[in-house]
Amino acid sequence: MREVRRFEGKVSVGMEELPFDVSPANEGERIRKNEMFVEFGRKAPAFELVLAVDEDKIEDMKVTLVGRDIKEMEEGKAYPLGMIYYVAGIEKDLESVLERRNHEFMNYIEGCMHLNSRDEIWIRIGKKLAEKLDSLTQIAKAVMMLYKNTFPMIKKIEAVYITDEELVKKLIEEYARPIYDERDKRIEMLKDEDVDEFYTCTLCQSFAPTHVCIISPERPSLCGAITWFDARASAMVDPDGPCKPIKKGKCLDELGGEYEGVNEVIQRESGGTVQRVKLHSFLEYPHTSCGCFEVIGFYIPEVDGFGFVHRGYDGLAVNGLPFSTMAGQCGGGKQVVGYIGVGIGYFRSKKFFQKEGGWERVVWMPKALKEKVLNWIPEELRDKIATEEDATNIEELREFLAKVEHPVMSRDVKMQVLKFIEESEEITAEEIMKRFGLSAEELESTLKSLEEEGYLEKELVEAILEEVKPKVEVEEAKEVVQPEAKAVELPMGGVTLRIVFKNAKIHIDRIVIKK
Amino acid sequence: MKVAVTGKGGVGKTVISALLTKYFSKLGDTLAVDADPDSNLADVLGVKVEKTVADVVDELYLRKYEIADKDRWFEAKINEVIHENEFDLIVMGKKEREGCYCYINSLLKKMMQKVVDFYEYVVIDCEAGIEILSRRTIDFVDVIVIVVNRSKLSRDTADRIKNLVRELKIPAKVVTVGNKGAKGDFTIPYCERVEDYLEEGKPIEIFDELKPHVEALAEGLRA
Repeated sequence: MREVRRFEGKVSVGMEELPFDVSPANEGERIRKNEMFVEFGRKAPAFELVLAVDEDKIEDMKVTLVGRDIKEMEEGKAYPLGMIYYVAGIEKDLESVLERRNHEFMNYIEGCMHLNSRDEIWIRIGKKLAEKLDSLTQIAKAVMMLYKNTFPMIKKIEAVYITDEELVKKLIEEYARPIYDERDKRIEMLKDEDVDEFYTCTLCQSFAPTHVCIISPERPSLCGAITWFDARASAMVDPDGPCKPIKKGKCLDELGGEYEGVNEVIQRESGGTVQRVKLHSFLEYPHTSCGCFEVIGFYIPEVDGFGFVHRGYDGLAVNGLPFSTMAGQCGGGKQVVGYIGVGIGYFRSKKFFQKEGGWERVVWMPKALKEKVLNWIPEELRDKIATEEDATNIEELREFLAKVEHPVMSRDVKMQVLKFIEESEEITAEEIMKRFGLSAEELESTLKSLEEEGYLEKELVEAILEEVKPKVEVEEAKEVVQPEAKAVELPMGGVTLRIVFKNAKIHIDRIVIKK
Repeated sequence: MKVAVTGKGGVGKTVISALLTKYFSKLGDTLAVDADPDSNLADVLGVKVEKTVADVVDELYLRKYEIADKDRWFEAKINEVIHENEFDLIVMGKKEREGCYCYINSLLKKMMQKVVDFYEYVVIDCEAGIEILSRRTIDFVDVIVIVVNRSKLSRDTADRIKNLVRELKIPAKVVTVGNKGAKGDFTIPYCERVEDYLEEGKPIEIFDELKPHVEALAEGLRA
């Protein structure tokens, strides 16, 4: 719970008959300059703050006004204003929800206009309202009553209004801003797992008919304009608008970010064209791309890494293609493996293409883009991602990546091993080890990881590894078979059994051959 | 009453818009909207505008990752760029930057709707041609004024606008205004003083010789 600050000032307690009309019908009323008595904010400092406090710390329906009152103000002028509402009976995470409502409630008052939020508010009191008002405390009373009517869980509410310039400035700096920052940080920390609902956005369907943006806390829209919070606000205010809530449903792939509910919506909204989407995967059922994306990602098979290029970058990307050509590949709502449109905000996501290893796979982006997202790149990788100054083609890129020991380079060997295996009809462990200079342990870990990633069949991996550690029935150790003994032929009653040892160091305790 | 002033380029939409704005501002809360990036309703009305809606849109585009509460921020900034006088004026301005504005435009449409709802009289000086209709940005107007002059080209444009209003089923009354003495449902005569003022770049007034004609037009629109 928050600390309650006490101030000296004019005090008014309890309910009272208010001399003005309060109704939602007054919303949207603009107080024009020539109808205005005074304004708060815009040209003077102002803020609003709702704080959750303990019940015993405050007095219900009490208002303290610090500084001059409405009757002591000059027509046509701008004055500072701070509004603090202490509320008992709510949790801290409801503070911002209630604070947003101060806007509506003040606009319900006939002759009062409230715009913007937090320390950017702008309020006008009309001449007609000013005539009826005895004190600004009456405005606070109206808002407090509206709070209590709208949120029945509120046990007590107390307000402090401040018109003293120095105090307002001081409170913005020392009191309000740290709280706004703390709330923003909490929002940034919000994970996909923390919410039950994601949002769809179909604003772009007029030119990308099969495209649906799925907006989750850790994945903003491709155009970058809509965060999960924007989408939620839009869906609440305008249920027929472009953003609609969806139940995310059962999680089918935690790393990739695949959800049953999301797939259902994608199938419906894309007219059946797209069946599955993994929100945080680049290569497996990637999110479709509209045409609005700020940045396009492209797969670079030669180094098995990802490059990114932003809209407005004039040159060619490291793969020799400009933004526009690549955008043409996947724009229009197509699901194309190898290209993906993203919003710049997605680079900030903790789940940034985590299915494929995220930042560890990012190898190239223009300098301008890199500078924009620099703070979100893990520190150890910041110097390892090439820009157009380091590489303008794949060969230079490969050299750069080798020089800085980019994580994809160890992947690179793995992928070359894979290619080698795939291209050979028969393969032996010895050939692979010799070609890539791998030890038996390195070979084993490379093949196992290719198997885990689904590139190689288990049977094949076992067959190859069989060569480096053949399983022989073991009993007590007695003799050592020398590696030179390359082949042993044994008469087996008409059947010839041929055992071949290649480059093997094998300890055999005893070979038992029974007839 | 919300009036959109349309027509071919160069027929005098801005002058007609200015005259209507001045007339309505004596009757009630009036907002003039300069929606024509190629004209200067503000100058003709004698108003100095520092910031346009396009500037706000641009700022939101650039700061989209900082601004947490976009709806509310945008609403406030749109309200801030309204220039206040005996009439209010908002200048839409020109979009300069490349990029995706789907979301911002949808916000803009919503906010403009909210803004114009408040005023008793709204006069929109539209961009030349028919695009403003086909984009459906002014579906809310009560009257579409089509300004024509003596050229056949301007009458052709007027016909196209009329057809489009019918096709799109926009529920607005359509009125033609013949400028500088041309034929139309209403006529504004040629006025030497208007021409002189425009030449010198001075704001125009409803000059005495225009008064009965502007009154007839404005009252005709209100009827």
